[in-house]
Amino acid sequence: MFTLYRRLGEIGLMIYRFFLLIVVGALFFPATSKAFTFTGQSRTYLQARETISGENLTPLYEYLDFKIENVGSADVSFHFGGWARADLTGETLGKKTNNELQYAYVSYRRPTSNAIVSAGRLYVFEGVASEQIDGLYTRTDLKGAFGVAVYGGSPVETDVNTRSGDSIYGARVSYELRGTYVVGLSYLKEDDNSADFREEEGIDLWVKPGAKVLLQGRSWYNALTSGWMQHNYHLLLGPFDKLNLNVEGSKVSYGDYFQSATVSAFTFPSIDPNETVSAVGLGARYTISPSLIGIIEYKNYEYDLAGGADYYGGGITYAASSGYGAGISLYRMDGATDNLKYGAYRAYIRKKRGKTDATLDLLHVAYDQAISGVTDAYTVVGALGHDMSAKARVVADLEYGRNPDFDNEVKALLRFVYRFGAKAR
Amino acid sequence: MTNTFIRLLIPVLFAAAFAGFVSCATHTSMAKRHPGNMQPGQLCSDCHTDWRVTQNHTADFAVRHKFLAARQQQVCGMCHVETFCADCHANKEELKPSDKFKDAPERIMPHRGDYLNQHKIDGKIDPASCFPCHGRQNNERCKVCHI
Repeated sequence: MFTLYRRLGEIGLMIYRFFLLIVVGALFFPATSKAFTFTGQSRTYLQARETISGENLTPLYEYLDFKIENVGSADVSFHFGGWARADLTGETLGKKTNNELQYAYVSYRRPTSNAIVSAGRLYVFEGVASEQIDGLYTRTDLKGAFGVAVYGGSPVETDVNTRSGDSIYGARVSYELRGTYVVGLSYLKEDDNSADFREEEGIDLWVKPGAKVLLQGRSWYNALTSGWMQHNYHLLLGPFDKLNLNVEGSKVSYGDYFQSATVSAFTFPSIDPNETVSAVGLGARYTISPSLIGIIEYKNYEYDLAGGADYYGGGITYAASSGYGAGISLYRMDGATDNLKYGAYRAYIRKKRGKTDATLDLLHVAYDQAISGVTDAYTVVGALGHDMSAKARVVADLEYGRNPDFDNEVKALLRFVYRFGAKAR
Repeated sequence: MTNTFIRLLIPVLFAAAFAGFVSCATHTSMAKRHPGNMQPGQLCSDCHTDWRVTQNHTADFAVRHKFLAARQQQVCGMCHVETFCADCHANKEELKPSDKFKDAPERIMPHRGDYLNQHKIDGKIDPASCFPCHGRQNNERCKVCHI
């Protein structure tokens, strides 16, 4: 059975290549296709910064994404996203160059039943799954308000080991009464080197019993540890005139939740597998005027073993059609001990005039207990943007920081964005 | 026994999905693109009055978007290209999302400013909030210290 799901990844790649041939063929021989659209954007970043060890880095990044749609008479499309980096000076994270293929997949979409099938490298967000896979994904509505999504292939994860013997598969079945409730049941299984790595089951809910009430959330169960990983539910109330309220409740069992971690920060002793944290959050948003909004929030963390923590604060944001935008926020984290306490304060202002915009952003974090002898961390960001045309934009920003790691930290970034698009017939 | 049942069930679901693909439901699929361009700051409730207003992208939507995406990601695709997701949900991202968009201070972006020191506190208080993005992927930077 494991082999079957590994094969799914290979089948997904075969289908991906097959459709890719069709897409490329249609592009080069447009007479065979009725139409296609080609849209995307290129984002180029040139950054200058200094590392803690004093090395000067100048990485140049190119982010490219595009999609080719409406290839032929069928609703077939190809989607691509990825980036590459080359360092003009220094070595970022010990590598002179790096790159990532974020997604590259072929997709067929039916005009009925929200049916879609995709093959290649793609993201899957279905219930308990929030994954990047090389494989096959399909979903469709069924008769009787049921829906089903199924996927399988090979997981894409940081290269902590080889991908040999890795497989991932799962499904989500849902039932929906449109506008009133949706309930979903999901399952995910992942093997690492042909051994059990993750086996998770989930239930997700979206319930709207009245015009001013919405409950949504999820519970995940770890079948390998036989324990609930987390419960996370949000209740939204309102609007009551200009007031919206939200209540959040969550519970996380560390031993079950972090069972499949691949970085030491989430394993013992950083994480105590016997710990359980329960959190309750309350928030209110008040629309003072269409352009002026106030927010206050409070969240309490209670632990079975460690002491509790409170996070609270609020802010006001202003966004006017004249091009002005501004915001101020004040938050406080009160952990159980002094080294887990800080205040985070922020103020920003943005003004757009014609094709040019300017931003000033100030951040201050005040630690109750000094880190490396520093109690106050400051960051000041200035950015200047200009729309060169409807398709091209350039932004230059400069960041100055003073924090426990740097007495004076200066970072600069130049960004050039170009959107391209064409429709052929 | 349960595992075997589920492993057998998945191909059945594949078959169900395929059957649904071919014939089962015949209602029209949701629009591929949202009709009309949404402007920054515009809310679903500016035009809609039904359940769709629950998708209003207010400031707290950043915390709740996971629920919508995990239920019907095609809805996200009506307005957003996938790169919009990939800017944060990446496998080995090197640039912080907040570094990429310093000219958009109104956007909710994780890790603004000097988060290198602040994460030592947030990571102790709520490590579960770090895990979805850095637990199994996008953690090459974490591994510089957390070997």
